[in-house]
Amino acid sequence: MGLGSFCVLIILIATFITWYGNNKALRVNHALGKDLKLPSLPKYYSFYAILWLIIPSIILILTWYIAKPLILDVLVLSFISEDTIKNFSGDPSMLVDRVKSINIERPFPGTDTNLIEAAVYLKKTLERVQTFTFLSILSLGCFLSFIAIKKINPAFRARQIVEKYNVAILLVCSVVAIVTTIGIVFSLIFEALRFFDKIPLFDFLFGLSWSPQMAIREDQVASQGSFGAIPIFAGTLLITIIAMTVAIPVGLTSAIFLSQYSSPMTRSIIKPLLEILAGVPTVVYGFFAAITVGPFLKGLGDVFSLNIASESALAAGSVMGIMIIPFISSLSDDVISAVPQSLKDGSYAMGATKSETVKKVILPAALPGIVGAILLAISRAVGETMIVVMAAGIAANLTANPLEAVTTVTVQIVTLLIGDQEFDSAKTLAAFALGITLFVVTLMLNLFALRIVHKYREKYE
Amino acid sequence: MVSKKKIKVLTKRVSVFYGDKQAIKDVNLEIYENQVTSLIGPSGCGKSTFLRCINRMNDTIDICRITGKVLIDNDDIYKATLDPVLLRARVGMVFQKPNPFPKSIFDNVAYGPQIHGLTNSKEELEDLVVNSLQKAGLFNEVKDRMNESGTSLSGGQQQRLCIARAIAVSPEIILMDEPCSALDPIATAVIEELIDELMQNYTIVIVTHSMQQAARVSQQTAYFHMGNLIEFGETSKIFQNPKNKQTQDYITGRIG
Amino acid sequence: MEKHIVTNYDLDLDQCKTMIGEMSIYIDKLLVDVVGLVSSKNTNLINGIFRTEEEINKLEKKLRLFTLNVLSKRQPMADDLRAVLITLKISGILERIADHLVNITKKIDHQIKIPEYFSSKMDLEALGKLVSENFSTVINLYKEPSNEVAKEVLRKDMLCNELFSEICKKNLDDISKNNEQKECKFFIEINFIAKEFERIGDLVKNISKEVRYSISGKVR
Repeated sequence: MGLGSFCVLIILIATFITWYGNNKALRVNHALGKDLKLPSLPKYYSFYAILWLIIPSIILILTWYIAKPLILDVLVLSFISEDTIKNFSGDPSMLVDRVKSINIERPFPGTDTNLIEAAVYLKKTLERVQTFTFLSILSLGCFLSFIAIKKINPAFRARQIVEKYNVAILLVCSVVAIVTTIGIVFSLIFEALRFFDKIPLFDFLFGLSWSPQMAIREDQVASQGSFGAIPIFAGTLLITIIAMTVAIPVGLTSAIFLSQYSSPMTRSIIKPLLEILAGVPTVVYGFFAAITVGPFLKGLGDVFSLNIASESALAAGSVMGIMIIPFISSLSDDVISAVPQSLKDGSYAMGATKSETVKKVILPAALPGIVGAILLAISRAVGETMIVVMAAGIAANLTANPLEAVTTVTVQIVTLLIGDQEFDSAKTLAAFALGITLFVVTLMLNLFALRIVHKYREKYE
Repeated sequence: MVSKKKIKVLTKRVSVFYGDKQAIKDVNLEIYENQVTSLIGPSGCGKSTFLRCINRMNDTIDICRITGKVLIDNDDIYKATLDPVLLRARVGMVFQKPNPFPKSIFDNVAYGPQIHGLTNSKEELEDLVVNSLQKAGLFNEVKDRMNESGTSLSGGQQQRLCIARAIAVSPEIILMDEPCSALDPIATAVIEELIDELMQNYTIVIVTHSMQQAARVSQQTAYFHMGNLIEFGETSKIFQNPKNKQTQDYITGRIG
Repeated sequence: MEKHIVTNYDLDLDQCKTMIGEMSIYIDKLLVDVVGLVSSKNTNLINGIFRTEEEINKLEKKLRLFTLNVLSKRQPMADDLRAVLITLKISGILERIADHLVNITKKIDHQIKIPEYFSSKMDLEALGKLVSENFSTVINLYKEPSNEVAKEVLRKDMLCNELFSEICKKNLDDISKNNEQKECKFFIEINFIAKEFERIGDLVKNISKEVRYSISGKVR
């Protein structure tokens, strides 16, 4: 019996228990007569019974899946003959892995017959044991929930207990998200720490040169790579600034137009169009930047006898800016629309024109929200990879010239992890160091943005 | 009381339509200078709509259409050559919910004078702001915190700030749309006292849900019902001996 | 007393008091005139009394309209409500006092013959003066309520009542001594006049009751 059929069974049983528990509670209610009643509705009693079925089942199933590999090992080792173990040169646990990997139908020619037999035995036993376990879990659950149904009486207050379990279930689910986040952060931190064992933190944060090549042989040229993160952070900054220079004015003005000036008709056309921009995959933006915008800029530069690299920060940044426009415009549109009509009326009643009202009342009122939107957009831009990979190049130049090729943190992470390499070399670990730094930066931006947005919300409630 | 009253605002057969729905039906009303005129009536009777006709605030609503004439000092405010921006400087408005701008107290009051270019120097502007706040009876409470946000004030203070803001452009008429409905009785009393004082220099029209408030603050009362002006007259007469049965039923709480 | 936030409210309440004060000045004048009339008949005085009574009636009407206005405009509460309420009631009482005084005047006006012997004359004058005095006291009480003054009013009212029964007794004696019918009628008239004064005394006492009600808020 597999997990699938187990789930189907448990759902069937749960349906039955709901029906039975409900009926039982109704019967008890009836038997109690008119004046007296159960303290909770019948459905709470059946729900309580289901809790007794499901919670132990889930816990036991999880335990089973944790314990299963251990049982496997014991089973396999007990089956394989002493000789085979003795003949095997490596650790016995490797033998277990090999047994597990054998395809029973079409074993690899020349495999030890003893091992094949072990595999067949393993498969059969495992199936039997699992079926037995599942069935016992089910019967235990049934037993417990029937006890719960037996317990139905006026002194038993099911609603309060069910409510408590509800809260517990919600808590568990939210804890899962938190634990995942913490897990990611810790994995980043540990790998990054390993990197900082090899390269000093100071060199990483303040070094001016980035060339993460490590020598494979001791005598190779450029045996010592340099890991100064300044150029790539500067590159990220440059591209972000370019992107924001494009996105903020365009996004903001379109938000103002959409929320204040456009007729409902125009709004209903333009807004979805802007949102299509948001739906374009970043890869598409990437090759748009690399194939269309980059060469176009280069050509334009030639006209003015400027030397623009075909992979320039300008191309990547401006396309990234376009990508972020809908982000800024729809967020700012929301906050601008949230400015209460009463404020606008107040301004109009003073004899202000529409543009005066927008400039002097609406924008100041919406400013915290707009700043929040921009900060969120920045953290988005900082984390953007695809466009930069394709359009801005991977050379870590320390330059403020937007016409040259630069690189960003995310691009470097990608290039560091692509290809064959050991996972303990400084080159690979540098990716984690970059990752954690980027993580900290975007986290701070997000916190800052959320705080501002939150402050804004308080104002009108 | 006053022998000869000068008519400040005169409406002739004013009707207002929201799309197909007629909100105001042929209202003829006289509003006298330096008096408080209150508009009462059940919700949705059109009194707020009528109020907003006087400073053309209805212009900001697209589907709103108005017929008839509204004359201020015998001058039609709906004629094509009249700029609503200038009109609104003459006819100030205070709203139901206090709506100070999210700016400092000073900037809130300075807003009107700045957009209309009423002052030539910083000192003049400061004088004007202080003066307006004094007239609104708020200066003593806020003089030490002129740079704090207007939204940090209490509800009653915010409403007086809005009144100061309206006064700052020296209007002739002040429209008040249920100015006390969001305030507690004490703050309401303070505003009512303020209205008593402002009456000396301004013509005030106030929409209120509280008949008691209308009785307290106004000299003239107009009763609206379903977009019609049912009765208009001296407040004391309306509240002691109304001529119309509908008015009587409304003020005595028999219909509503 | 704390001031109201709305200053015009205070002005209205003050106006109530002022109008009662104004009425009471007229009543005071009437009382003095009528007491003077009791001691010696004077036609000028009589005409003046009628005119004053008219003034009082006008004032009473004005005050009624004014209090109505205050009630509808200010919707007074608690002590303010009681203050306005007693203004209305006191003005009614004052108007009735004026009526009683006019009744006395009419009786004196129509009286043709005065007998030589008239033993209660002094007492009647004393009664008039006492009532007049008590009236001033009660108006002071209205303007500035105090327990002492309230007791004083009660004490003086007792005196009035005693004086009234004294007068009745003396008149009865006089009637039994005189056999002439016309003189009998005169003594009965004197009795009525004394009765009117006694009524006025009662009304004065009622004013003090109203004042006490407005202070304590309890109906006794």
